[in-house]
Amino acid sequence: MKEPVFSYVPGTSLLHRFDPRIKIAAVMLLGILTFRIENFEGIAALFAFFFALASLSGLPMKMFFRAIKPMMLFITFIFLAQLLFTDGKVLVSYWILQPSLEGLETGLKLAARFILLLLFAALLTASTNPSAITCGIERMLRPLPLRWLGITSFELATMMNISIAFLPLLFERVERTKAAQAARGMDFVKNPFRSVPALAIPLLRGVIRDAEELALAMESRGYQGSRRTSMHELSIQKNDWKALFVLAVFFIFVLFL
Amino acid sequence: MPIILENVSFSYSRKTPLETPALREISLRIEKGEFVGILGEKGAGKSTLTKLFNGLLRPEAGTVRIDGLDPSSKEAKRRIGMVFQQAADQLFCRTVYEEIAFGLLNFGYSKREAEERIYEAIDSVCLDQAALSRDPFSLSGGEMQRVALASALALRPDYLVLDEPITGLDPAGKKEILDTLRKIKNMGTAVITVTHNLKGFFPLLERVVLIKEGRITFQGSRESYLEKGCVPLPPIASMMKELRERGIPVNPAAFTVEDALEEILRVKSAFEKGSSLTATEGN
Amino acid sequence: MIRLEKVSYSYPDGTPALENINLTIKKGEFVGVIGKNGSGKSTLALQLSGLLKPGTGRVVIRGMDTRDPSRLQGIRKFVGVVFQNPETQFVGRTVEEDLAFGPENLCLPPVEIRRCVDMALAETELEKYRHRSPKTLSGGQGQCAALAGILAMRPECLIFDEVASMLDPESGIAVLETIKKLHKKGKTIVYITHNLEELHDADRILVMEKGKIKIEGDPESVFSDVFLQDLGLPLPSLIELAANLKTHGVIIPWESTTSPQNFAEEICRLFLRT
Repeated sequence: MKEPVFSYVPGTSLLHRFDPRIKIAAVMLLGILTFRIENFEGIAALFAFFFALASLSGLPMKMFFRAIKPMMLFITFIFLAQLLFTDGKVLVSYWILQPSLEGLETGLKLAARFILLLLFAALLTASTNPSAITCGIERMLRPLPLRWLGITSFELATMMNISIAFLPLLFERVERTKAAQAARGMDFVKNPFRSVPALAIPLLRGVIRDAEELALAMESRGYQGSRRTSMHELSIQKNDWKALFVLAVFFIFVLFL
Repeated sequence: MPIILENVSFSYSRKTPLETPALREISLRIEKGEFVGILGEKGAGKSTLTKLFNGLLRPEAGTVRIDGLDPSSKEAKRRIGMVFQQAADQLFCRTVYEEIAFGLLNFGYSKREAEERIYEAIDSVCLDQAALSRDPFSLSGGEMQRVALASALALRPDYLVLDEPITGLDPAGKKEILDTLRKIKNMGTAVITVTHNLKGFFPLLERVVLIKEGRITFQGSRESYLEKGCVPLPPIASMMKELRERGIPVNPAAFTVEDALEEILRVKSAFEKGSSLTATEGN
Repeated sequence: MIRLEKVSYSYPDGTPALENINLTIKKGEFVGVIGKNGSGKSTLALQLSGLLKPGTGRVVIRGMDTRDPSRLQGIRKFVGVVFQNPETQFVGRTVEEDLAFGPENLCLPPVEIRRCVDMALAETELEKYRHRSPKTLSGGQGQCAALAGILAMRPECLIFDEVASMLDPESGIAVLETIKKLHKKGKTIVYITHNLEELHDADRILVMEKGKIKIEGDPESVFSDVFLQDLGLPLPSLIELAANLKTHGVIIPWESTTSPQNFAEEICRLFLRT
């Protein structure tokens, strides 16, 4: 079976060893940057920065491009929409389609931005253990006064982990129930009124049962919703500060480009 | 006319980066009135195969024909009844009656016709008619599974396709389902079941299809399957095989306690008659 | 180790699940519990692990009363439960991450958590699946991973609630073998099942019916108990065959009914002697 996109690839590279908090902050900063810059130089610099980091991670380049592939249709659509529906100097005219030079420019920029976002996100997820990411988010949220909302950052992190872990199970359930009812002649298009309860009721019952079983299993493993530690040791090292510095320099450099 | 699969291949998430092949060049023929077991490990493609029978999935190559019909046609769907592992995944009505009626109404039967068929179906799964007014979720696991069977049988299918119908049930529930299936088969409906419970199903199976990594690696009678012995056999069958290997001439087709008892006693008296007879000569 | 004193429990809707159960699980024992669905076996598992508090009576786990909330974490550390469905027991996206869940709840330091995870992986022979998603494991491996998730908390007592009932027979046997290995290493095991075949090697078997313990004893005496058939619990086929042969004057000793090989050997021995 092929590795799903955006999955973690264990390794020991410098990029793998950075503190997840630094990496999350970096992705956020780079995300802001991609949408702040207006010129092609900046975009080129960001791409260059990505390739530098990617080669640092020691992971095969084509892995990152696989992260873009499923989104390519969407990106192409955005590009074409910009190309065709932006007013400006007309490049060629064909039927009612009039791609403009300005459209080409904004289209290219927008497409490049999405691609950059995806690439940086893929870099984070490929080089960071998923639970280290949630652990990092948990630590970053800890100073926030979440207590007022009635939850702790520990609960929030566990919730994030579990909902991600449970999505595939939910999809499987939907598939199973859909197949079972289709085999009994259910036709969603022809008779939605009968089909909705036929899908929703077994699904709800199943999900509730799953949740009960999960809650019991979690309790059996000592979960109390209160303070817990993490397998991932988070400590900002010298390297992390250096990385932060490099990032800041790059940030300013691109903004003034 | 039978179910015929010719060189059928199927992959999930086709033409996407997540494409995973599930079945490769499957050719299979299932006659009316047969009892066929589809065996194989988890992920071998057994469940995928059953979904091809009633058009839930369409093959990417090859053809599937149900009595010569396209499996996604309404008539073909009526001829194939399907029941999945967890009855709880499909039950949703307030009464068993409505539950069985669901399929019938979907296929456009009138209320009167449906009623007649509901009574017939509940009889054929050996449930009491009083059960019709009960809440399906108040039933035991075995009873719930029989309601699922009844809702498939109400359409009077020619083929009943089951996916792990007894997994997760307790011994009493397993026995209920196996007895019901024996009855259904005797009434002339073909039963095709995916299972890993060889012990429970073995006395019923007439033919075995073994799937491994999306391909059929064995197809034949259960006797020839026993001879081949490619997977762990149920305890009695395994013991009889051991006896044969040790030179005691017992019938390899014995796999129930009764059969085995008879065989052993027969051999015993043979040994007692001719005390000069040694084990190897007896073979 | 674990003591139930006059424990009764009813479901929220009033139906009784357990009635006046007295039971002691001794250290290092392998106790098999068998009964039909709805006989109260699963409720018993929850009582034995302190996940459910008794309605009346008392459950004491190594001196800790399960109704005392301050002892809960101590109880969790001491006894763990593995349930029927492996899929609803996973909380992590990788096996490693999942195994860390228990020790994390016990607030162990990171180094210690890693040590617990490594040990649990080694004991269940799952090292090579460390970074895999638990959902991609086969049923048997999945159940082993669920077991490892409990082992990572280093409990002394393990409770298994129908862990093999969703698995194919081969995987079921493999999981049971892993459990037996843990028993040999000194863990106390309570194994709940509706398949008598799995309890051949148990130290003690409890047969449950309608919330009560109906039969209790070593496997040999329980398997020959005539009430078993009335409770709808079929005997292992080799045991049944041995019992039938006995009425025809062919005596197969208990030790030989453990496997088809031993059984066949015994028959050869008997026949070649005559």
